[in-house]
Amino acid sequence: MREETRGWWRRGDARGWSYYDQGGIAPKTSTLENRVRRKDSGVEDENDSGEAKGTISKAMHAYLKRAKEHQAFIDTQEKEFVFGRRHLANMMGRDVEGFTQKDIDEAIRYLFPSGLYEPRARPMMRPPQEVYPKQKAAQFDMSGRPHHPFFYTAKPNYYYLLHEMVTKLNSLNKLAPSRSTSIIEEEEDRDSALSGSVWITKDELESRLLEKITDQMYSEWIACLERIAVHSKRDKELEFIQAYRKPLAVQTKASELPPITLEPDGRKSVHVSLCMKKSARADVLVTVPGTGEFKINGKGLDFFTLMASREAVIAPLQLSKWLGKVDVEANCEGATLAQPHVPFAGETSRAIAIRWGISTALAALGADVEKLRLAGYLVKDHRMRERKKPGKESARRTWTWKKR
Amino acid sequence: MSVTMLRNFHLRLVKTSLDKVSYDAKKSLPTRLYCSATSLASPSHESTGFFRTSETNPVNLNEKHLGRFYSIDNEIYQKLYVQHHGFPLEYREQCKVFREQLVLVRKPYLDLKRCVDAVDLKKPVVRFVLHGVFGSGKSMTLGSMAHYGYTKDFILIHLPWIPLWTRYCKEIVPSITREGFFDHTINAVAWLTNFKNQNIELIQKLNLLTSKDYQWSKREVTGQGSELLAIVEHGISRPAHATECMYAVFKELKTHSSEEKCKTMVLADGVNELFYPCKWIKGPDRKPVPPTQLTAYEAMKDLFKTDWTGGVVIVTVDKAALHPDFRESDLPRYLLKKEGWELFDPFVPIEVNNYTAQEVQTTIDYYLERKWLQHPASSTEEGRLELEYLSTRNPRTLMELCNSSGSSGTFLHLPFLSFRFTGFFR
Repeated sequence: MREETRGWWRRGDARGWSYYDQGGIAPKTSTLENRVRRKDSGVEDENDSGEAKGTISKAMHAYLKRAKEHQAFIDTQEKEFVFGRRHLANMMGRDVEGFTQKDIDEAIRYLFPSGLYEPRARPMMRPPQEVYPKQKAAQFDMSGRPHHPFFYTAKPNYYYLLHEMVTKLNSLNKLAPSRSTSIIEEEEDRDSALSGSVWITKDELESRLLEKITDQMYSEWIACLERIAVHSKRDKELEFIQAYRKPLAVQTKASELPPITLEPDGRKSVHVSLCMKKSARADVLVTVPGTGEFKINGKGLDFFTLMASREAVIAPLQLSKWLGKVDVEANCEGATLAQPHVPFAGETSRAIAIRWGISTALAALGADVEKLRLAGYLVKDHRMRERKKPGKESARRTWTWKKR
Repeated sequence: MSVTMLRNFHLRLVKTSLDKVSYDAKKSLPTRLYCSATSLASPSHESTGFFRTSETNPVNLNEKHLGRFYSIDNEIYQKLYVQHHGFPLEYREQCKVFREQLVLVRKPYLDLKRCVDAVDLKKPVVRFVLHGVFGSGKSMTLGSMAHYGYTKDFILIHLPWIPLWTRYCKEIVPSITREGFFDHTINAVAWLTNFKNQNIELIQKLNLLTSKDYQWSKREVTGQGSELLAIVEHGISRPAHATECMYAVFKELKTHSSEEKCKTMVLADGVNELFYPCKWIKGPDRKPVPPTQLTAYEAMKDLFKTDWTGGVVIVTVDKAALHPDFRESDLPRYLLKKEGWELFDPFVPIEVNNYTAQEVQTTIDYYLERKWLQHPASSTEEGRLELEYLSTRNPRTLMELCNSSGSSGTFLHLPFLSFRFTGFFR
């Protein structure tokens, strides 16, 4: 029974059908779109000859019509694009042949200057294939029979992917049959191959599969992937796993870190000259080994009156377990000056600016960068104070409404 | 001995005591392995915590007891500290919870004690000024000296937290005898009651008598040769005369001390308040009354002069005693202003610093023993270090941090909003 089932979908494979039209998972063999176009040009496809002629299903009929319309639309747009590009090149006094997309962008920016904040809202000219969404190709042949063996699962691409993963897992399990040998126990070994990257998100997976999936389906998929990822023989499928991982956005490179200075007394120090948060500015000097002394604007940690600020400053040191082992000297200014009626103004910003400086210095001095990065201490906070708007009490707040 | 060694030593102590318990268990004696609520409610003073000393007499405290907690007898504590803010309110509340009164023996306290011992009582009074950052333990040191003075048979003139006389003043009335002056009523009665409570046995024992006639009003007179306590009793029964009575008591004690009939110890917290204009206290015209027009303040200033012998004057200066506009420095020269500086000059300055690293650890050990710190991480190396850094070793901040219901430093910038100043007449 099982062999038969396998045979059923393998047959499709052998005949060169595409499971993933434009899905980007399996290689394309022949898309239906191509076949349609060939038909239009009057050339009979060899592959199609095996199927019943003249018995086109209604669904196929509708699809063919839709595809034809879409193609016609895209063709018109393409023509317009080519024409427009030539026109643009002439206007800019450039050679038409060598007028690339980069030149188009520059020309548009020059001819139609826009002050709009959102880049996507500004005028642009791009090939129609990039502008208009792709359409899913037909899932069935001329007789209305689906190409995809998993078509009736309603999510064929998703379930095929799962199927593929389970097959891989089974083959890995054959190499390491008992559960005790098949799983990597040590957490550090597990992370070694996957550090610095995360699984792709649900949205990204959906766009790859061209299918909508539920949260539960996504978590099942992740669970299956993770099972492969902790398998002792995972090296065989590392390429497959990596295809579904993306690197984390912020990567601290050694070249970006400030240099280490050797002090006359033999200690090592790192000076981070510009630490910023809102309008607060700070410079931080971390010396190692030290006695755990803090010197912030000439005072100790009691320069900060808020516990939250003090916590922020010592947090990176706690994380790297260097609290009490390094000396920190910092000068900070900016943000609003403390006044009797606004006691904490600017204090938090200064603390965060110093925290960034200390974290960067620690990373340069050889603390665990990954820990600091995951805690978010190496990211600069670029947010600024929102300006006050006319007609409002502050940035967003409105005045209390009074009837009269 | 490093902190870690000390803690290991402590652990060893605990371990041995547990071993003893299990040994007893073998002898089929009923034993309890874990500290329960019952044992917390009735703390045994023979507890083996290395941070305690069994010494309860402040006279015997010396360098051996440095960095350990000594216990104040509950009877004395109730007498000296509870009625009238002898110790800061937060500390007293903590004592109430812990059902015991432990005070850390610190260097400034021992220094001060040695100085007071060395003072020649036949010479004009020596003034000691305690100074230091807010929350470093000035008031606690001052309060502990009251215990010492009590034990050494000093008559205590204890003026805890002088700013209360203006900020939480219930009522002032124009003075009968002094032109343009104002008298406190309820505040002065409260102080007199406390004075009587603290010193009644000693005054009765010394049999102090008044040196002159006091005409309070047409009919009310305290004649020469009557008991000193008669003045106090009169003040308590007649609030309108209470401030005058207080002044009279001060003068009488100065005279008696000079005549070597008794020894007097003056303890005043936050004296710099006497030299700053105060916005909180208002006269009948609804304008702020300057401190120079308050009889009580004049009486106190009179006490700090060097025109008498046979006593010691111990005062503190504190930034928190002043309006936030005048909090630029913690040093006496700034806080006392020119006027105060001239009044106190010359004085013996004693700086009260924040805790040392070891004192922080000792305090944390004590809180752990009292189960005051409940977070599992608080006993670890990291937890202790975090508390030490967050508090910047400031005793008051450490206490507030460890106190889950405390403000945790929220109002550190505005000490007059702190609890300390709100509970005068509780």
